[in-house]
Amino acid sequence: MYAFLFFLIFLLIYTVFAVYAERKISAFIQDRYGPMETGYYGLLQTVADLLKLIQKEDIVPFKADKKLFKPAPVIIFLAVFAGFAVLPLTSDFAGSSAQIGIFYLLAIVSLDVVGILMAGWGSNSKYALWGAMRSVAQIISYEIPLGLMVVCVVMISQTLNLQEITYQQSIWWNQINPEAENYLFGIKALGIETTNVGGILTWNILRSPLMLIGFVIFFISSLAESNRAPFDIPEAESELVGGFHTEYSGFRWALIMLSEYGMMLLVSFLAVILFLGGWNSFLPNIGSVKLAEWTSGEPGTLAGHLWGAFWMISKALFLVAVQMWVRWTYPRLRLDQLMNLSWKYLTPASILLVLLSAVWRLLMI
Amino acid sequence: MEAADDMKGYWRNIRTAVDTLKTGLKVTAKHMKDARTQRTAIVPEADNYFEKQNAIFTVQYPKEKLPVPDHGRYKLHNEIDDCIVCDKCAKVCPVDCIDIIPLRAVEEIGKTSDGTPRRIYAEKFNIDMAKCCFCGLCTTVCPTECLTMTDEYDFSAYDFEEHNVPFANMTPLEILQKKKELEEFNKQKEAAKALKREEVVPEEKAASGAKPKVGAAKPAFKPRVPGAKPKVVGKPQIPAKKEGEEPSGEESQSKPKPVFKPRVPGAKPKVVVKPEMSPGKAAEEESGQEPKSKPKPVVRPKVQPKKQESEESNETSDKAPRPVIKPKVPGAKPKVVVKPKVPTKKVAEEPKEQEAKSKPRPVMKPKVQQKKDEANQSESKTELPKKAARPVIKPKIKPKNTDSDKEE
Amino acid sequence: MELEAILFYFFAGITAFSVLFIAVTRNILYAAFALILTFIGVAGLFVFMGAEFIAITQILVYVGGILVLLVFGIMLTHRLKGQKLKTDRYQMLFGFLISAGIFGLFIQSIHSGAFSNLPWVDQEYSQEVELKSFGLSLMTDYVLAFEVIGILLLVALIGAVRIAGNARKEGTDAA
Repeated sequence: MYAFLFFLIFLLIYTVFAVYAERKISAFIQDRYGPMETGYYGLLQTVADLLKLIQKEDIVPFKADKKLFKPAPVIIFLAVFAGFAVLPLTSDFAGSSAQIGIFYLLAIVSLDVVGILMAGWGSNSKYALWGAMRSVAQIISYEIPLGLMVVCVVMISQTLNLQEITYQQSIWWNQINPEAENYLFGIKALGIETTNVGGILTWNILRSPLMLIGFVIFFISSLAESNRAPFDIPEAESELVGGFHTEYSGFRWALIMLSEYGMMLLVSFLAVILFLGGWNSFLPNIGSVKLAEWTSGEPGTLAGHLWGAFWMISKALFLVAVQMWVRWTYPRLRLDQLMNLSWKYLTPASILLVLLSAVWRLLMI
Repeated sequence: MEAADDMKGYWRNIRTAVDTLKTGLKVTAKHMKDARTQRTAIVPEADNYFEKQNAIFTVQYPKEKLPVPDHGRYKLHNEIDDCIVCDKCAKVCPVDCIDIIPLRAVEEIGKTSDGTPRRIYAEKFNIDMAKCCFCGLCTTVCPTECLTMTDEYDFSAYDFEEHNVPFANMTPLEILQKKKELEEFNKQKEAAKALKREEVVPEEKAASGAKPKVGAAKPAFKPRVPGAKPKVVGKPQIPAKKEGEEPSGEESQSKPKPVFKPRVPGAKPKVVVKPEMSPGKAAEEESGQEPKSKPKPVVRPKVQPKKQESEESNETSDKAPRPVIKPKVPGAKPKVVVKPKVPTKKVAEEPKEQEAKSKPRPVMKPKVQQKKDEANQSESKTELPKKAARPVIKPKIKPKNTDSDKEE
Repeated sequence: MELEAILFYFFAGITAFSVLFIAVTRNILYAAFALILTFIGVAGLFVFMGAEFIAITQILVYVGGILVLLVFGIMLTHRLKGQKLKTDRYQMLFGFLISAGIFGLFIQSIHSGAFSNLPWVDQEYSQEVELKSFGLSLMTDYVLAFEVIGILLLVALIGAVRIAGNARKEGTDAA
């Protein structure tokens, strides 16, 4: 319940400032200032925008299929928000510690597609319908490399539980599994044990260096999953007006935007947990200089919570910032290029990585 | 074989993608880094003007402003105390954004800062900045240089009407008073005329009286011209002539001519228009104007609107003046005497000027001669210009009438 | 416990009502969306049975994959001429009789079956064991079936590519 409240409030606050950050980053990339008038350095601009949005009339097009049109934003938001249920924010703080955490996450997020379809169809607008179709085609295509990358991590970690996956990348792994051992690059033959060194050396990207490529593939797919540029053809402002949310206004539109930014955060959290060590510090213990211990608290203690939340959130926000950076750098992919990328490049590479990860796993034991 | 090529292309694609994506990220990262500073405003003359600068471009406009040149050609300003209400600016304006109602004074009301005597009040002097096309012609023709373009460029307003900037500073009461004075003055004059019954004399007086003024104005004008060179540059029409004139004027001291010439080019449109008009009409108008020049000058400005001209001319012709007119026409011919002067001056100038300049002039001359009638008339009396202008404006007037009708 | 009961009835209600809606509605698209709701409800019920993995698989496969394609198909085949996609009702009487009969049969068998007395119902179960044993048995006892299914899917994929690729043979770069 606490996790529910925390994530709901955090998501709202995060969205407000993510929109602000997005505008600032885009402005800086384009040699502009961005919002400057409302609040110090324009900090309150999004708050003002939000207030305006909430006051706006909720317009439902006359010809829209109201039974589908009205609940669609709610379903999209629910699907995204449900994903937060299994995220371990710190070593001892998570909504649900379900054993099938990551599996659940993938499944529930795919419900997003249903909401988008409802919105696109219900709007009775060709732009919305096109946007919805593209969105669905894109999300389904990119779910494959995304899912395969998750499979890679699961094969390395031997569990579907997100909390356990995080523990494995931590110096506290022995607390839940006394016999566990981490080796440098996951190669037991090297004989360099890193279980108590921690830091970046035990993150999944270095536990199995293949995951460096895996992380890139996961990141690209996650961009497509959250309909972000350069994979934003479902929204494609220049051709589809607003894509599936063309006909929405006011609060419902705000809900869709909230979901989009929530999705960004969700996939960033997921990437952090799967590849970047979750709530663990990136500083390793070097001999008697226990940097990793100093920058992360014992699980269950207050310090553990604070350090964990700090590392988790700052890593995720960094990834969100990279998503924005990418968005304002690259042009939008055409539909055929998008499909090419997914089916001809990412999917074969992912399948190969699954195979190699299986081999790597053999080196780890 | 093909498959091998395809595979090569496949790997090449991946490499290109990675390279270009990396380059793209580097570019935008650099821009983000440079966004900590703001770009400095550089004048085009600066050496590094074309160098690439990576910093924030945006100026936070109302708080920060980019420097504009002191001689910026933006909002118009009229120094009403220096204005002799000659109406030239209104005539030359291609978009008719200057709206002037002159009110003749009974006597000289003062001097402008360059010494030109002022004889006309501006009952109304409005410049509609919403219509203004910033061509700068009005500032070029302005004889006293009271009309200038300032470096103020932000004159946005909440009400469209606020763009119509009034420069006249007379109160309605003053206007009424002056009008009354003028009426009385005219009555007295009429009475005097009736007594004398010799129209030619006063006319000549008027003409002769006007000429010296014009002459007086010019000396003042000239010294400025060199100082005000921007103006010369601004005159797209006859820069060569002006430059030629200036030296000639200074050297020969034949002041009237240089003054005339600039006007003549300015008046060219009129010349072109006139031939189109039927001679009879023109005669009527001229005749109409002349009578007006004496008794009606008062009437016209009041009625003002160029719109009603043709009617007015009819009315005026209906009225007593017509018989009077004819004698005047001969009276006007003395101006024709002026004509010879003008060409002679030109001739005099031509030698001074370079030969190249002499060529354009022959082209001008025919026009000039036609104009001379007008020009002479117009300059003989400062009021006349308006009348002269009217025939010219006529083609324009018709649309105006409709516009103004609508407005009304 | 109270909350769990509420949740159980909530999911059961979702399932029942959405199924009923599918039976009643004439709009195919609504029926498809209601079917999504049904599967979600059923997935919820699976969770109450301790079959989390099945529940999630249900959502992942049926909702995220099959039904989205179903809705997609309806949208694509539906000619955008303004008329709604409707089905007609046939054999109302027979349909009603048959379904009522099946319903009665179920009620009867559930009552006589006395599920609560079955030996394996109240047994403790462990998620951990369930997931691990599930994976192990999949890769050992049932590995043949698993691989056969995999080959079947592969064949289906190749067939799909073959069918789809045939249509535009003329373009050499279509491949």
